Amino acid sequence: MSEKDLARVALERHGDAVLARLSGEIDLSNAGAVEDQVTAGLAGSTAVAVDLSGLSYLDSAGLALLSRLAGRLSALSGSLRLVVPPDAFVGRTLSISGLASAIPVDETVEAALAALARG
Amino acid sequence: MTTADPGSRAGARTGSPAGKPAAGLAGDPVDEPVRLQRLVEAGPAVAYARAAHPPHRVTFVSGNVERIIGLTVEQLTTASTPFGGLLHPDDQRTVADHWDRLLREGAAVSEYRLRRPGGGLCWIRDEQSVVRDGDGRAIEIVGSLLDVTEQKRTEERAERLQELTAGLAAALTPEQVAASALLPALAMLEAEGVALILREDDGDTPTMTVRGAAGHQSQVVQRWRRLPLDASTPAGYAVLSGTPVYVGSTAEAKQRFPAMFRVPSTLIQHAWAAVPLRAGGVIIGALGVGFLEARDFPAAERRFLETVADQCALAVERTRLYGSAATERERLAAVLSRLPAGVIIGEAPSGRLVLGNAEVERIWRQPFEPSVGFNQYGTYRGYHPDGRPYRAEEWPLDRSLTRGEVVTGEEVVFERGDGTRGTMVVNSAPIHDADGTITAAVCTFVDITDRADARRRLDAAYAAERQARAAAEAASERLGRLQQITAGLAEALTVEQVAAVMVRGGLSVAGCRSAWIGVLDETGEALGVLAASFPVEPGGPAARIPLSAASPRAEVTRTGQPVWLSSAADALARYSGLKAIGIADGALGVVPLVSHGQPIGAMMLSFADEGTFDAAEQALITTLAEQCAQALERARLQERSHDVALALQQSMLPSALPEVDGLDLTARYHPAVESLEVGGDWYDVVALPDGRVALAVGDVVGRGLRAATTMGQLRSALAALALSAESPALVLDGLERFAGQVEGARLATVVYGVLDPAAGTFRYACAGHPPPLVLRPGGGTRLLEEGRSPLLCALPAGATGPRPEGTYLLEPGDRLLLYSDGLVERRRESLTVGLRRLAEAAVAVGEGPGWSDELVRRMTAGAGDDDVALLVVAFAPAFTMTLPASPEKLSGLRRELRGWLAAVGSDDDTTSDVLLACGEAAANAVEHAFPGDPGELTVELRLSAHRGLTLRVADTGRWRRVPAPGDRGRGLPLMHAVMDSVLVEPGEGGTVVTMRRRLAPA
Repeated sequence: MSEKDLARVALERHGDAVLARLSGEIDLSNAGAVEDQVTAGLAGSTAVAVDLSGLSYLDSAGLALLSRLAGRLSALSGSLRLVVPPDAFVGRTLSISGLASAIPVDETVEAALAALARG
Repeated sequence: MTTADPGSRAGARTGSPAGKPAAGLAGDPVDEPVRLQRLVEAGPAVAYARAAHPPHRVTFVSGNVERIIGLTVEQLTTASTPFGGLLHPDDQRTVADHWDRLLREGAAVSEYRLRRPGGGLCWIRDEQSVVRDGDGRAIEIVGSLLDVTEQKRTEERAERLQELTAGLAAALTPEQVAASALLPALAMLEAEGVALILREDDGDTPTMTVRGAAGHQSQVVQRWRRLPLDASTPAGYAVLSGTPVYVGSTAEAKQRFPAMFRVPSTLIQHAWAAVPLRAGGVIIGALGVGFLEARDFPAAERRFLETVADQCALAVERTRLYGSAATERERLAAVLSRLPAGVIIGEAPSGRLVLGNAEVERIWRQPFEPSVGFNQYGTYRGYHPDGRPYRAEEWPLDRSLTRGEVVTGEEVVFERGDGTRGTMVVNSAPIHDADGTITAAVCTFVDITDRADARRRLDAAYAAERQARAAAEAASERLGRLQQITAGLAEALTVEQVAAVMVRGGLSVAGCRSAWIGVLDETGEALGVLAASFPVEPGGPAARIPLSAASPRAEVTRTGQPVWLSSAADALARYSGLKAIGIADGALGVVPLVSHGQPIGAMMLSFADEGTFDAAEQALITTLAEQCAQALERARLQERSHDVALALQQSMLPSALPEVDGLDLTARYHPAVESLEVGGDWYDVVALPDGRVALAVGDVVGRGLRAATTMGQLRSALAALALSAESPALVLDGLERFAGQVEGARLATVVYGVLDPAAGTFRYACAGHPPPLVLRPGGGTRLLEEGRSPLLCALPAGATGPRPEGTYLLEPGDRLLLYSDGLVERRRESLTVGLRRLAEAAVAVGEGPGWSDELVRRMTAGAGDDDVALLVVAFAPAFTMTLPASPEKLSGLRRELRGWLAAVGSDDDTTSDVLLACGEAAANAVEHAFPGDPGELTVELRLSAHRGLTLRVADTGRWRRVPAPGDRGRGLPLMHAVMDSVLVEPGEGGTVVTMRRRLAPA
């Protein structure tokens, strides 16, 4: 598997909000590329939901990516929400790292979008 | 009867010294001295009376004394001291102490040995009570004597054989065999001395040499140390003829072995026995026994002696299997590591402890420290039976090293490293060089704490039962029938059997129509039926009675007080819970069964006729209940003593399996539960010096102590062979030759194989044993059906040509199962069906935690009563991968790791954690690699014993000393969070991260 298709990024617009669906594996080799793809797709939007349910691996480089994204949106008075279903593979990594308590987490995409819509 | 008026004496005795109410059910004549006398004389007990003041002269003794003990009435009544010179010298003290206790407490039981006038000893159980006058002064002592010789001997023989077996298993030299075997034999036979004599054919003329002796007076040993191998002595004759020799008197000896008397001054003995030591069809020596008095050799004693000789011969032969190579340190350590006893070897003259096996640490619960001088012994804490601490120079090993003492069977109370105390039996023997100088000493010890406790509890239970029985006999004139119950109880082994005897007894003695006995179940909240004289429907109202029920049985169990009801109508009026229970119409006696002051159940007797119970009837029924409760308690303890036999057997199985990299070893032993006898299944794992590991599971024909003993010998022999023979076929050939020497080992089955963890090859041979089974990851199974040959010794040697072998190449994740036939065999089912069931059950059980226990449970559920041994080897060779330290290689590493983790049965969470930890460690290495020259990264993952996982990530670069701020700071805490331990070691050549994590059990 080459570095390029290790992870896939799918972006959707829902009103003012952007939903980024990540799948595959994120590690040191592709975290930077994934970050670039996500930020390029925001197109000025500051309400962002990132769906992590399709990820089968996420290491500290991926966690750093999410942390930087949250910081950037926060600086723009926007907000970031993560979608992590209870059985998500990366749920354990997120909670151990403490990131799950720093960034709002929803169990479904619908819940995340609804929360973003409420502002 | 010449010395007393038995009628009046016996009649006077119904005043019952034990303090129970004077007995006699309504209607029976109370004063029937003649009838009572007849009862006594027909019974097994001798009644007697003797003076309360020293020398306690015997004033009356019943006429059956001659029949029972072989002493005449005159011999007992005319002696000036109690039993005159008939009392065994070792028991004089016991009996003297006994008088004091008897007069103090009013009643006592003692056991001692009397010399029979015709020769030989008998064991007597003496139950006595003091009769006092109105002022409380002791008038006389009355009691009964029972000949318990046979019972004592049987008990003692079993005990000595246990001792022997444990000792022999640890023997490494013929001298140690002698030290282990001779003392039990000596104690059992009341001999002057016992000697292990081995044949030696080195010189021009064959001779015999005493390799160990116990008990003999020194001049005897001097005279007989070295003997010519000819037929002039019993031992020589036994060796040459191959038959045991028993010489009962000097006259017989003079006739058969006149040469023995050429040096008459050395002959202090008057009877001799010599039993050949037979090993592999060759007589290697003899066990010689000498007695100070002329005697018979009863069949049971001959059997015992011949069993001891067989065991000695096998053990001597086994010590030869270890051969001279046993002096090599490594080989010796390998042998020692699998002995079921603690072994310490000390060096002379320094006193240094040079070697100790794993059992030493297990028994002492403290680390064994080699290489310390004599002072070391002071750090081990031991106590004499009187509580005095062992001084350093008193330890058996020290005595053997400094004085050449051979110590056998010394009981030492010891204090373990954790402060708890236990009891061990210690043997110790010096090792001499060719000049006779002591060069070392070997000390072996076995922890007998549990066995000693169990023995004490059983003794206490017997004592309590005896008391209850004595009380019962005093309370009722229906002596004969009560004695029948007593005899029946003595034969009842299990709790259920005791209850059945009591139900029958209740019907015959109390004359009731129906009887019911039940005890509290495990919950303690209901009575469960143990036995009833009427059919009890399982699950029906008579099968289980809640303690809270409004029923007399529940009530007596709650209160501990009996309930007497005059009629069924009376009962139904008072207890609503009785309605559904079919009982007779008449009176009802319901009494609690009380043990140690606590009600444990109830007995209900229902009668055909209505009416009240008088005091005597109440006493009789209460007494029956007391006897029942005591016998139940004893039976429970006896069932527990089955556990003791089991513990002995398990002490002969490996106490711990070796730790082998790449293999996860699990053993399960599931004992037969219903019968009170242990079986002969065994298993063993021997780590070979070259890194391979030998695996064996076997099954010995038969059950009980003998099977356990044989099993121990086979296992020891196999381990010795595993260390020397090259191929499995040759090991089994050697084992077959060894088994040919033991009756009990013939037709044993065994599967034996050698696994090479580096190559994954398993080379095996199977002698009449069910085939090994391989479970593949993902549910495939494969029976290893090659390498089959018949049971050991089933065919004459060489009848079938070379024994075949099979080889199987294990894949990572394979689990290899060796097992005994109890796992797969069912009556009326072919083995093929059994093997299929095993494969199906193994797949169904899967690989989750506790799968091996679950597999044994499923396979044995509803099966017959057989024991099961199961040995499982999960093949998990270490994972190793070397890759360039560049980011794009990390996903490939994870893919490989996932495959390996799945193969070793890692669950999803564990896999996720290990991937993360490994990924972080690898990412750190990658990040700090030099640009342009990334260097290499090596990842190793191995599974060791107890499912411990070790992950090692090594790079050729160097980590930053201080974690960088921001991103990379996360890696290390994540690793700590998901692994049990993390160690980062920066070095000149690179950084090594070692992390550990325990997997869920197999």
